[in-house]
Amino acid sequence: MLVQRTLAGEQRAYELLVIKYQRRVERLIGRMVRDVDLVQDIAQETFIRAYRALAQFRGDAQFYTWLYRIAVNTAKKQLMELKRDPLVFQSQLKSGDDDETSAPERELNAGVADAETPDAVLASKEIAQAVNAAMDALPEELRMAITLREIEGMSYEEIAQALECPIGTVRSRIFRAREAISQRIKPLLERQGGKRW
Amino acid sequence: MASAGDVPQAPAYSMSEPEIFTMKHELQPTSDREEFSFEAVSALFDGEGDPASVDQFLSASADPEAHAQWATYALIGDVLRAPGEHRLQSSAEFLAGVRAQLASQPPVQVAVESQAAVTVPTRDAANDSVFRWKMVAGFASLAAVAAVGWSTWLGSGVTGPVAAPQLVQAPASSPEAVLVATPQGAVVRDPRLEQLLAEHRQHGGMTALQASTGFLRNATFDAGDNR
Repeated sequence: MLVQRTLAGEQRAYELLVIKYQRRVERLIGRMVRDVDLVQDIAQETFIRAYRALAQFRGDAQFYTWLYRIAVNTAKKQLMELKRDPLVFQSQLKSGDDDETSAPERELNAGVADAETPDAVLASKEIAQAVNAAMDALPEELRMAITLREIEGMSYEEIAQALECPIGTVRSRIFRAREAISQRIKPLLERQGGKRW
Repeated sequence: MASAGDVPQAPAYSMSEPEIFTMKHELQPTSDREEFSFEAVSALFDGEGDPASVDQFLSASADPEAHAQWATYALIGDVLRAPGEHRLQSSAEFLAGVRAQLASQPPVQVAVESQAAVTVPTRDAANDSVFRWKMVAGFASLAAVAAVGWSTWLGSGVTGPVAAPQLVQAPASSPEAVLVATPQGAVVRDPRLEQLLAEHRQHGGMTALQASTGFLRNATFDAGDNR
Protein backbone atom coordinates (compact mmCIF):
# COMPACT_ATOMS: atom_id res chain seq x y z
CA MET A 1 0.00 0.00 0.00
CA LEU A 2 2.88 2.32 0.76
CA VAL A 3 4.28 1.63 -2.68
CA GLN A 4 1.01 2.62 -4.25
CA ARG A 5 0.91 5.74 -2.14
CA THR A 6 4.41 6.61 -3.22
CA LEU A 7 3.41 6.13 -6.82
CA ALA A 8 0.46 8.36 -6.12
CA GLY A 9 2.91 11.10 -5.26
CA GLU A 10 3.17 10.76 -1.48
CA GLN A 11 6.88 10.90 -0.83
CA ARG A 12 6.31 10.42 2.89
CA ALA A 13 5.07 6.94 2.14
CA TYR A 14 8.40 6.15 0.56
CA GLU A 15 10.22 7.54 3.57
CA LEU A 16 8.35 5.04 5.68
CA LEU A 17 9.58 2.28 3.42
CA VAL A 18 13.12 3.62 3.74
CA ILE A 19 12.90 3.56 7.51
CA LYS A 20 11.44 0.09 7.50
CA TYR A 21 14.02 -1.50 5.22
CA GLN A 22 17.10 0.64 5.83
CA ARG A 23 18.94 -1.65 8.19
CA ARG A 24 17.98 -4.79 6.35
CA VAL A 25 19.46 -3.32 3.19
CA GLU A 26 22.53 -2.14 5.06
CA ARG A 27 23.02 -5.57 6.56
CA LEU A 28 22.74 -7.16 3.16
CA ILE A 29 25.23 -4.77 1.62
CA GLY A 30 27.45 -5.13 4.66
CA ARG A 31 27.96 -8.77 3.71
CA MET A 32 29.49 -7.59 0.46
CA VAL A 33 31.17 -4.37 1.57
CA ARG A 34 32.69 -3.86 4.96
CA ASP A 35 33.31 -0.13 4.82
CA VAL A 36 30.47 1.35 6.84
CA ASP A 37 30.49 4.64 4.97
CA LEU A 38 30.42 2.82 1.70
CA VAL A 39 27.64 0.60 2.95
CA GLN A 40 25.56 3.63 3.75
CA ASP A 41 26.31 5.24 0.42
CA ILE A 42 25.32 2.09 -1.44
CA ALA A 43 22.23 1.69 0.69
CA GLN A 44 21.18 5.25 -0.07
CA GLU A 45 21.87 4.72 -3.73
CA THR A 46 19.78 1.57 -3.54
CA PHE A 47 16.80 3.46 -2.23
CA ILE A 48 17.21 6.20 -4.77
CA ARG A 49 17.37 3.67 -7.57
CA ALA A 50 14.38 1.87 -6.18
CA TYR A 51 12.50 5.15 -6.01
CA ARG A 52 13.29 5.88 -9.63
CA ALA A 53 12.23 2.39 -10.68
CA LEU A 54 9.26 2.12 -8.37
CA ALA A 55 6.80 2.33 -11.22
CA GLN A 56 8.26 -0.94 -12.51
CA PHE A 57 7.53 -2.73 -9.26
CA ARG A 58 4.53 -4.88 -10.12
CA GLY A 59 3.86 -6.15 -6.65
CA ASP A 60 4.23 -9.75 -7.75
CA ALA A 61 7.02 -10.20 -5.22
CA GLN A 62 7.51 -8.78 -1.79
CA PHE A 63 8.86 -5.25 -1.85
CA TYR A 64 11.95 -6.33 0.04
CA THR A 65 12.66 -9.08 -2.47
CA TRP A 66 12.59 -6.48 -5.20
CA LEU A 67 14.66 -4.10 -3.12
CA TYR A 68 17.09 -6.90 -2.36
CA ARG A 69 17.91 -7.34 -6.05
CA ILE A 70 18.45 -3.62 -6.49
CA ALA A 71 20.73 -3.53 -3.47
CA VAL A 72 22.84 -6.43 -4.70
CA ASN A 73 23.13 -4.97 -8.17
CA THR A 74 24.00 -1.56 -6.80
CA ALA A 75 26.68 -3.01 -4.56
CA LYS A 76 28.15 -5.05 -7.40
CA LYS A 77 28.23 -2.02 -9.64
CA GLN A 78 29.87 0.03 -6.93
CA LEU A 79 32.48 -2.63 -6.38
CA MET A 80 33.25 -2.80 -10.07
CA GLU A 81 33.64 0.97 -10.25
CA LEU A 82 35.91 0.97 -7.23
CA LYS A 83 38.15 -1.64 -8.75
CA ARG A 84 38.42 0.43 -11.91
CA ASP A 85 38.93 3.74 -10.15
CA PRO A 86 42.61 4.71 -10.32
CA LEU A 87 42.13 7.30 -7.61
CA VAL A 88 41.48 4.55 -5.15
CA PHE A 89 44.79 2.96 -6.00
CA GLN A 90 46.55 6.32 -5.77
CA SER A 91 45.15 7.04 -2.35
CA GLN A 92 46.05 3.59 -1.17
CA LEU A 93 49.57 3.83 -2.55
CA LYS A 94 50.08 7.12 -0.78
CA SER A 95 49.05 5.52 2.47
CA GLY A 96 52.34 3.62 2.45
CA ASP A 97 50.64 0.33 3.08
CA ASP A 98 52.68 -2.12 1.06
CA ASP A 99 50.87 -5.36 1.71
CA GLU A 100 49.71 -7.31 -1.25
CA THR A 101 46.03 -6.74 -0.76
CA SER A 102 44.54 -4.79 -3.64
CA ALA A 103 43.60 -1.23 -2.90
CA PRO A 104 39.85 -1.62 -3.43
CA GLU A 105 39.75 -4.70 -1.30
CA ARG A 106 41.59 -2.93 1.46
CA GLU A 107 39.18 -0.07 1.18
CA LEU A 108 36.20 -2.36 1.19
CA ASN A 109 37.57 -4.41 4.04
CA ALA A 110 38.38 -1.44 6.19
CA GLY A 111 37.48 -1.97 9.80
CA VAL A 112 34.02 -1.16 10.93
CA ALA A 113 35.19 0.33 14.17
CA ASP A 114 36.93 3.12 12.30
CA ALA A 115 33.62 4.53 11.21
CA GLU A 116 31.64 3.96 14.36
CA THR A 117 32.26 5.74 17.57
CA PRO A 118 32.46 3.69 20.76
CA ASP A 119 29.39 5.50 22.02
CA ALA A 120 27.43 4.43 18.99
CA VAL A 121 28.55 0.85 19.38
CA LEU A 122 27.65 0.89 23.05
CA ALA A 123 24.26 2.41 22.34
CA SER A 124 23.59 -0.29 19.77
CA LYS A 125 24.51 -2.98 22.25
CA GLU A 126 22.32 -1.50 24.91
CA ILE A 127 19.38 -1.29 22.57
CA ALA A 128 19.83 -4.87 21.48
CA GLN A 129 20.05 -6.03 25.06
CA ALA A 130 16.99 -4.04 26.03
CA VAL A 131 15.00 -5.58 23.21
CA ASN A 132 16.09 -9.05 24.16
CA ALA A 133 15.32 -8.41 27.83
CA ALA A 134 11.90 -7.10 26.91
CA MET A 135 11.27 -10.17 24.80
CA ASP A 136 12.16 -12.40 27.70
CA ALA A 137 9.75 -10.53 29.90
CA LEU A 138 6.86 -10.79 27.48
CA PRO A 139 3.98 -13.14 28.13
CA GLU A 140 4.28 -16.28 26.09
CA GLU A 141 1.45 -15.47 23.70
CA LEU A 142 2.87 -12.05 22.91
CA ARG A 143 6.41 -13.35 22.48
CA MET A 144 5.18 -16.09 20.19
CA ALA A 145 3.19 -13.67 18.07
CA ILE A 146 6.01 -11.16 17.63
CA THR A 147 8.50 -13.94 16.98
CA LEU A 148 6.41 -15.51 14.26
CA ARG A 149 5.92 -12.14 12.69
CA GLU A 150 9.35 -10.54 12.89
CA ILE A 151 11.65 -13.53 12.77
CA GLU A 152 9.65 -16.05 10.80
CA GLY A 153 8.07 -13.44 8.58
CA MET A 154 4.63 -14.99 8.76
CA SER A 155 1.52 -13.10 7.83
CA TYR A 156 -1.21 -12.40 10.33
CA GLU A 157 -3.34 -15.09 8.76
CA GLU A 158 -0.59 -17.65 9.03
CA ILE A 159 0.06 -16.69 12.62
CA ALA A 160 -3.63 -16.93 13.39
CA GLN A 161 -3.69 -20.45 11.99
CA ALA A 162 -0.55 -21.40 13.87
CA LEU A 163 -1.77 -20.01 17.16
CA GLU A 164 -5.39 -20.97 16.52
CA CYS A 165 -6.75 -17.57 17.31
CA PRO A 166 -8.50 -14.83 15.36
CA ILE A 167 -6.50 -12.47 13.21
CA GLY A 168 -7.64 -9.58 15.36
CA THR A 169 -6.04 -11.26 18.33
CA VAL A 170 -2.81 -11.70 16.44
CA ARG A 171 -2.84 -8.07 15.48
CA SER A 172 -3.43 -7.05 19.06
CA ARG A 173 -0.75 -9.34 20.45
CA ILE A 174 1.88 -8.15 18.03
CA PHE A 175 1.06 -4.58 18.79
CA ARG A 176 1.17 -5.13 22.54
CA ALA A 177 4.49 -6.89 22.23
CA ARG A 178 5.91 -4.04 20.24
CA GLU A 179 4.65 -1.50 22.67
CA ALA A 180 6.12 -3.37 25.61
CA ILE A 181 9.49 -3.50 23.89
CA SER A 182 9.19 0.14 22.91
CA GLN A 183 8.70 1.04 26.54
CA ARG A 184 12.03 -0.59 27.33
CA ILE A 185 14.08 0.99 24.60
CA LYS A 186 12.64 4.46 24.40
CA PRO A 187 14.66 5.72 27.36
CA LEU A 188 17.77 4.52 25.59
CA LEU A 189 16.74 6.23 22.43
CA GLU A 190 16.01 9.39 24.31
CA ARG A 191 19.42 9.22 25.89
CA GLN A 192 20.94 9.49 22.45
CA GLY A 193 20.08 13.15 22.47
CA GLY A 194 16.70 12.71 20.95
CA LYS A 195 18.19 11.11 17.90
CA ARG A 196 15.55 9.09 16.21
CA TRP A 197 16.40 5.51 15.42
CA MET B 1 30.29 -5.80 27.43
CA ALA B 2 27.11 -4.86 29.13
CA SER B 3 24.83 -7.69 29.99
CA ALA B 4 21.10 -7.72 29.80
CA GLY B 5 21.01 -6.93 33.45
CA ASP B 6 22.89 -3.71 32.87
CA VAL B 7 20.22 -2.37 30.63
CA PRO B 8 18.62 0.56 32.37
CA GLN B 9 15.03 0.02 33.13
CA ALA B 10 12.53 2.37 31.70
CA PRO B 11 12.48 5.38 33.96
CA ALA B 12 9.68 7.78 34.38
CA TYR B 13 9.24 8.76 30.81
CA SER B 14 9.53 12.49 30.35
CA MET B 15 7.91 13.56 27.17
CA SER B 16 5.95 16.50 26.13
CA GLU B 17 3.01 14.24 25.41
CA PRO B 18 3.38 11.40 27.89
CA GLU B 19 -0.08 10.17 27.18
CA ILE B 20 1.14 8.91 23.85
CA PHE B 21 2.93 6.08 25.50
CA THR B 22 0.31 5.09 27.98
CA MET B 23 -1.07 1.62 27.67
CA LYS B 24 -4.09 3.03 25.92
CA HIS B 25 -1.83 3.22 22.91
CA GLU B 26 -4.03 5.81 21.43
CA LEU B 27 -3.02 9.14 20.07
CA GLN B 28 -5.34 11.75 21.30
CA PRO B 29 -7.08 13.30 18.37
CA THR B 30 -6.39 16.91 17.81
CA SER B 31 -8.05 19.39 15.60
CA ASP B 32 -5.45 19.10 12.89
CA ARG B 33 -4.75 15.41 13.13
CA GLU B 34 -6.97 12.54 12.32
CA GLU B 35 -7.46 10.00 15.04
CA PHE B 36 -5.52 6.81 14.58
CA SER B 37 -4.18 4.17 16.89
CA PHE B 38 -0.69 2.84 17.18
CA GLU B 39 -2.20 -0.60 16.79
CA ALA B 40 -3.18 0.45 13.30
CA VAL B 41 0.37 1.67 12.79
CA SER B 42 1.63 -1.71 13.92
CA ALA B 43 -0.65 -3.50 11.48
CA LEU B 44 0.30 -1.10 8.71
CA PHE B 45 3.94 -1.71 9.44
CA ASP B 46 3.32 -5.40 8.82
CA GLY B 47 1.49 -4.65 5.61
CA GLU B 48 -1.79 -5.71 7.19
CA GLY B 49 -3.39 -2.33 7.45
CA ASP B 50 -6.47 -1.29 5.60
CA PRO B 51 -6.45 1.61 3.14
CA ALA B 52 -8.27 3.84 5.58
CA SER B 53 -5.54 3.38 8.17
CA VAL B 54 -2.95 4.18 5.51
CA ASP B 55 -4.73 7.42 4.79
CA GLN B 56 -4.92 8.26 8.43
CA PHE B 57 -1.33 7.41 9.11
CA LEU B 58 0.01 9.29 6.14
CA SER B 59 -2.01 12.28 7.08
CA ALA B 60 -0.55 12.03 10.56
CA SER B 61 2.94 10.89 9.62
CA ALA B 62 4.17 14.44 9.56
CA ASP B 63 3.79 14.14 13.29
CA PRO B 64 7.26 13.30 14.64
CA GLU B 65 5.78 10.89 17.17
CA ALA B 66 4.09 8.86 14.49
CA HIS B 67 7.30 8.71 12.51
CA ALA B 68 9.21 7.83 15.65
CA GLN B 69 6.83 5.01 16.42
CA TRP B 70 7.28 3.61 12.95
CA ALA B 71 11.05 3.84 13.30
CA THR B 72 10.93 2.14 16.67
CA TYR B 73 8.95 -0.75 15.24
CA ALA B 74 11.54 -1.04 12.49
CA LEU B 75 14.34 -1.02 15.03
CA ILE B 76 12.67 -3.72 17.10
CA GLY B 77 12.28 -5.94 14.10
CA ASP B 78 15.88 -5.42 13.04
CA VAL B 79 17.17 -6.29 16.49
CA LEU B 80 15.00 -9.40 16.70
CA ARG B 81 16.14 -10.62 13.30
CA ALA B 82 19.82 -9.98 14.04
CA PRO B 83 20.30 -10.32 17.77
CA GLY B 84 24.08 -10.22 17.52
CA GLU B 85 24.08 -7.13 15.38
CA HIS B 86 25.69 -4.18 17.08
CA ARG B 87 25.83 -1.83 14.15
CA LEU B 88 22.45 -0.23 14.39
CA GLN B 89 22.49 2.89 12.34
CA SER B 90 20.17 5.72 13.08
CA SER B 91 17.39 5.87 10.57
CA ALA B 92 17.19 9.63 11.03
CA GLU B 93 20.61 10.29 9.59
CA PHE B 94 20.11 7.79 6.85
CA LEU B 95 16.71 9.15 5.98
CA ALA B 96 18.10 12.67 5.89
CA GLY B 97 20.60 11.53 3.29
CA VAL B 98 17.97 9.78 1.22
CA ARG B 99 15.68 12.75 1.57
CA ALA B 100 18.38 15.07 0.31
CA GLN B 101 18.87 12.92 -2.75
CA LEU B 102 15.17 12.53 -3.28
CA ALA B 103 14.89 16.29 -3.28
CA SER B 104 16.83 16.34 -6.50
CA GLN B 105 14.61 13.64 -7.94
CA PRO B 106 11.26 14.37 -9.47
CA PRO B 107 8.46 12.79 -7.48
CA VAL B 108 7.96 9.30 -8.74
CA GLN B 109 4.47 10.10 -9.89
CA VAL B 110 5.70 13.16 -11.67
CA ALA B 111 8.54 11.09 -13.03
CA VAL B 112 6.05 8.68 -14.50
CA GLU B 113 4.01 11.52 -15.89
CA SER B 114 7.05 13.32 -17.17
CA GLN B 115 8.16 10.11 -18.80
CA ALA B 116 4.80 9.96 -20.41
CA ALA B 117 5.15 13.61 -21.24
CA VAL B 118 8.44 12.88 -22.88
CA THR B 119 7.55 9.73 -24.68
CA VAL B 120 3.86 9.75 -25.24
CA PRO B 121 3.56 13.26 -26.66
CA THR B 122 6.56 12.56 -28.83
CA ARG B 123 4.94 9.37 -29.92
CA ASP B 124 1.65 11.18 -30.35
CA ALA B 125 3.27 13.92 -32.31
CA ALA B 126 4.96 11.35 -34.49
CA ASN B 127 1.71 9.49 -34.87
CA ASP B 128 -0.12 12.67 -35.62
CA SER B 129 2.37 13.59 -38.23
CA VAL B 130 2.25 10.17 -39.77
CA PHE B 131 -1.49 10.20 -39.57
CA ARG B 132 -1.65 13.53 -41.35
CA TRP B 133 0.52 12.21 -44.07
CA LYS B 134 -1.65 9.15 -44.26
CA MET B 135 -4.67 11.41 -44.62
CA VAL B 136 -2.97 13.34 -47.36
CA ALA B 137 -2.03 10.15 -49.11
CA GLY B 138 -5.54 8.82 -48.70
CA PHE B 139 -7.13 11.94 -50.09
CA ALA B 140 -4.67 11.96 -52.94
CA SER B 141 -5.51 8.37 -53.73
CA LEU B 142 -9.22 9.10 -53.61
CA ALA B 143 -8.76 12.12 -55.81
CA ALA B 144 -6.78 10.10 -58.30
CA VAL B 145 -9.39 7.35 -58.38
CA ALA B 146 -12.15 9.92 -58.74
CA ALA B 147 -10.34 11.67 -61.57
CA VAL B 148 -9.71 8.44 -63.42
CA GLY B 149 -13.24 7.31 -62.83
CA TRP B 150 -14.67 10.63 -63.96
CA SER B 151 -12.60 10.71 -67.10
CA THR B 152 -13.53 7.12 -67.81
CA TRP B 153 -17.14 7.99 -67.21
CA LEU B 154 -16.99 10.92 -69.58
CA GLY B 155 -14.92 9.09 -72.14
CA SER B 156 -17.37 6.26 -72.36
CA GLY B 157 -20.06 8.73 -73.36
CA VAL B 158 -22.39 7.42 -70.82
CA THR B 159 -24.28 10.23 -69.33
CA GLY B 160 -27.00 8.30 -67.77
CA PRO B 161 -27.14 5.66 -65.20
CA VAL B 162 -27.29 2.94 -67.84
CA ALA B 163 -23.71 2.41 -68.80
CA ALA B 164 -23.90 -1.10 -70.09
CA PRO B 165 -22.76 -1.50 -73.69
CA GLN B 166 -25.57 -1.83 -76.13
CA LEU B 167 -25.67 -3.36 -79.53
CA VAL B 168 -26.06 -0.90 -82.36
CA GLN B 169 -29.44 -1.45 -83.78
CA ALA B 170 -30.34 -0.49 -87.27
CA PRO B 171 -33.11 1.98 -87.52
CA ALA B 172 -36.29 0.41 -88.41
CA SER B 173 -36.71 2.57 -91.52
CA SER B 174 -33.22 2.08 -92.86
CA PRO B 175 -33.16 1.70 -96.61
CA GLU B 176 -32.52 -1.71 -98.02
CA ALA B 177 -29.41 -2.54 -100.05
CA VAL B 178 -30.20 -2.89 -103.70
CA LEU B 179 -28.39 -4.63 -106.47
CA VAL B 180 -27.66 -2.24 -109.30
CA ALA B 181 -26.58 -3.37 -112.75
CA THR B 182 -23.60 -1.35 -113.98
CA PRO B 183 -21.35 -1.71 -117.00
CA GLN B 184 -18.79 -3.30 -114.74
CA GLY B 185 -21.28 -5.69 -113.41
CA ALA B 186 -23.81 -5.87 -110.67
CA VAL B 187 -22.97 -3.68 -107.68
CA VAL B 188 -24.63 -3.64 -104.38
CA ARG B 189 -25.70 -0.13 -103.57
CA ASP B 190 -26.21 0.31 -99.93
CA PRO B 191 -27.32 3.82 -98.99
CA ARG B 192 -25.79 3.53 -95.56
CA LEU B 193 -22.50 2.43 -97.00
CA GLU B 194 -22.56 5.27 -99.42
CA GLN B 195 -23.32 7.69 -96.62
CA LEU B 196 -20.43 6.37 -94.60
CA LEU B 197 -18.08 6.65 -97.54
CA ALA B 198 -19.27 10.14 -98.26
CA GLU B 199 -18.54 11.17 -94.67
CA HIS B 200 -15.09 9.60 -94.74
CA ARG B 201 -14.12 10.58 -98.19
CA GLN B 202 -10.92 12.23 -97.05
CA HIS B 203 -9.65 8.83 -96.09
CA GLY B 204 -10.41 7.45 -99.45
CA GLY B 205 -8.52 7.62 -102.70
CA MET B 206 -7.64 5.69 -105.65
CA THR B 207 -6.92 2.11 -105.23
CA ALA B 208 -3.43 0.89 -105.64
CA LEU B 209 -4.38 -0.62 -108.99
CA GLN B 210 -5.75 2.70 -110.23
CA ALA B 211 -8.52 0.87 -111.88
CA SER B 212 -11.44 -1.12 -110.87
CA THR B 213 -10.95 -4.73 -110.84
CA GLY B 214 -13.47 -7.29 -111.22
CA PHE B 215 -12.54 -9.12 -108.17
CA LEU B 216 -12.08 -6.12 -105.89
CA ARG B 217 -14.87 -4.17 -104.52
CA ASN B 218 -14.04 -0.53 -105.00
CA ALA B 219 -15.35 1.09 -101.94
CA THR B 220 -13.98 4.51 -102.72
CA PHE B 221 -16.59 7.10 -103.15
CA ASP B 222 -15.92 10.20 -105.13
CA ALA B 223 -18.54 12.78 -105.36
CA GLY B 224 -18.59 13.98 -108.93
CA ASP B 225 -19.51 17.54 -108.14
CA ASN B 226 -16.35 18.05 -106.00
CA ARG B 227 -13.99 17.20 -108.75
